[in-house]
Amino acid sequence: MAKLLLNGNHAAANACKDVGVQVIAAYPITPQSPIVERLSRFVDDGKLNAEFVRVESEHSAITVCIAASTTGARVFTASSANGLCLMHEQLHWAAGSRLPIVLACANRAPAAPWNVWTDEQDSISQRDTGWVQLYCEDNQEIYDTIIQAYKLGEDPEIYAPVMVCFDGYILSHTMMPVETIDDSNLIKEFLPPYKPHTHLDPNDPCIVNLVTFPWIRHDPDKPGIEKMGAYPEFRYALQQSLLKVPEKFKKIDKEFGDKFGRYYGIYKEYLCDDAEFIIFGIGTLACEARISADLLRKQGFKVGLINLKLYRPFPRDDLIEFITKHPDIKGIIVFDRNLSYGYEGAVCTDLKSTLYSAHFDIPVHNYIAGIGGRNITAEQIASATKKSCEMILKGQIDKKPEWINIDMED
Amino acid sequence: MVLLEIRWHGRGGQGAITAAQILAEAAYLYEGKYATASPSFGAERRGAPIMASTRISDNKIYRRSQIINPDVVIILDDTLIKSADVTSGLKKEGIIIINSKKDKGSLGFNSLKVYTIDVTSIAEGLNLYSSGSLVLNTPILGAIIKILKITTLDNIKKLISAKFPSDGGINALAAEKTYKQTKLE
Amino acid sequence: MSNFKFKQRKRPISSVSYPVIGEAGNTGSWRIHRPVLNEKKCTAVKKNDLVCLLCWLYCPEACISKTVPPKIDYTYCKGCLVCVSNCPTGALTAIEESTFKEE
Repeated sequence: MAKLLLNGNHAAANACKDVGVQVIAAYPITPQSPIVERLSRFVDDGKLNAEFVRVESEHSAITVCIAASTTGARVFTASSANGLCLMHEQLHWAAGSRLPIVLACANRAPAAPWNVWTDEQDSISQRDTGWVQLYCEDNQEIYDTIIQAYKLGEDPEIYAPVMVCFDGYILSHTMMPVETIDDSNLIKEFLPPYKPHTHLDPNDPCIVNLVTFPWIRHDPDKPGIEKMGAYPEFRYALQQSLLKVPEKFKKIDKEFGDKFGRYYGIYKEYLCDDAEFIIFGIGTLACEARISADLLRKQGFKVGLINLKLYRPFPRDDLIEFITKHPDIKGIIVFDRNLSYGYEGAVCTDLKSTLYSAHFDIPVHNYIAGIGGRNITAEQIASATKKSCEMILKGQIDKKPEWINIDMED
Repeated sequence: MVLLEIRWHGRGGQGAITAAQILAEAAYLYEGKYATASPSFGAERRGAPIMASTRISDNKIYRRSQIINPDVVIILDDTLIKSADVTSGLKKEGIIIINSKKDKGSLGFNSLKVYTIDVTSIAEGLNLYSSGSLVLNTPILGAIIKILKITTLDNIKKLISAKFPSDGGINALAAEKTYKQTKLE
Repeated sequence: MSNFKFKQRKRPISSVSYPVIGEAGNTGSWRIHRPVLNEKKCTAVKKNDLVCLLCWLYCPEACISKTVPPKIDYTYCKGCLVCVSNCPTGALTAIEESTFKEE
């Protein structure tokens, strides 16, 4: 174990070294590049026995990862913004092939207009590709989550790719205390070698990801495979596996915590016990909002915080359980550093769908904040939250999504 | 120390980011504090004004936003006063630590606590150059830890030597010289 | 292909295909006409050597073997009759599937 001061990118790279990734392919893009720069250094120095594949685009990077994972290797890639967008087609491919690739996304705003600063629009745009998405709030969490991500993705009940997302610059370029595990034997006890479900082997040839039909094949005279499903069956099976992720992740998180002393859970909560209002979000906005909750408590508002770590699959059952156990909640205020154009913040929509499908009549207000790296402070989050608390207390429950700290023309 | 927020002003190539990191390491590794260090976010170019920041606290730091109201501003080069708003948001009781040959009264920081140290002369005296630029970041750390009482001279020298293992100890020596020349009043 | 040993396998987690006869489609069932070889007219058979073999060369489905005599794999032969068109000696002829009788 080593106590280090690492930026988020280097924390991610150290985690990849410590889990012994075998193939790395990535294309440079700000703010992710230092992850793979450091990994290439590890490979060059002989600290990591991995194949480092240089490629000409992000699409090729993820394609190399898919091919390598199909041979049974533990693989890693990283990207941001438009680079991640370019991977989009192959992200579907990775999930549909059930390959436990881990991708670190240093969140950055997709162009246009051109911008290199943090924004979760890039990963939120990949929400429906069948990848697990985990969001981090500090660099220790990035290091730990990457290790957990391999354990989760490689679980035979899951077999799915995992995206570990963290805010660009705010985490990727900020140095923070990180305790690395370093001891590869200790990590192996937690994360045994990857056992693929199917893999390419010249001694047992096969075609992977061939065409599947809308209908199930009926060829009883083919001795190769029993009951090969068709396309809908594969999609259904992926969904069923992903629905197991919340329970599985809780187990993995507990095992990790018991071994290494750090627990995260599906979401982190702060001051929620007696809370009447909950600030809800992902990433560093929701991290800083702890200070906002403190500020509002001093002003007499009983405010708590949920910082959601597991965004996909959306942990519906866990959130319903949380709401059930907290009957004092009068309103939830969601801060989104992302936007589903023409509607509202993506996290807000998901939360509302969970609440209202379970018949919880709790008003939810939405603020869009920090787009394109706009600096958002705890005080600004507190002031928006206070406005919503006062509105809800007065019975004004319906409120359109509002952008904060923005220069509006009107 | 609840939360100490330090903003660094330098020019690309002067090493403000490295110094911000070494200071955070000193607080974390030797003093048991929680500390973070950031560059200014975005592109950085040699010679252009840049910023960096260090946060130090007894408790875990949850602030992720950029510093708006620093407790301390460190200025690596007094020509930056013209090209950057170096006192922006500085707290009333805030501290300025500036590398300058000038008398502090002539710098125009009215009613603020100002420490001037002629780091340039110390670095020149030691012939401390890197890639053609005068190195100002490691020497000024000597002044900073003395004024802000963040860690001991020995500790900062150890960290500097670890960062520059093949410099023959000149960076650590520069920090020591600055430490000794820094007057607290 | 016929001597390949097949394993019994469970339902796969991703879409996979292992080599079995007709796995990618029993294309032999597409034929309306069947090419049939009259060995007496075949150059390779007459010279008892790997000569001519234009049928082997031209078959777009690689269904004709480079042997003496050339053998046609009727599991996959789609009946395109390219071999019949290219046979210089008329050794290959097309027979309607509906009238063909196994000997």
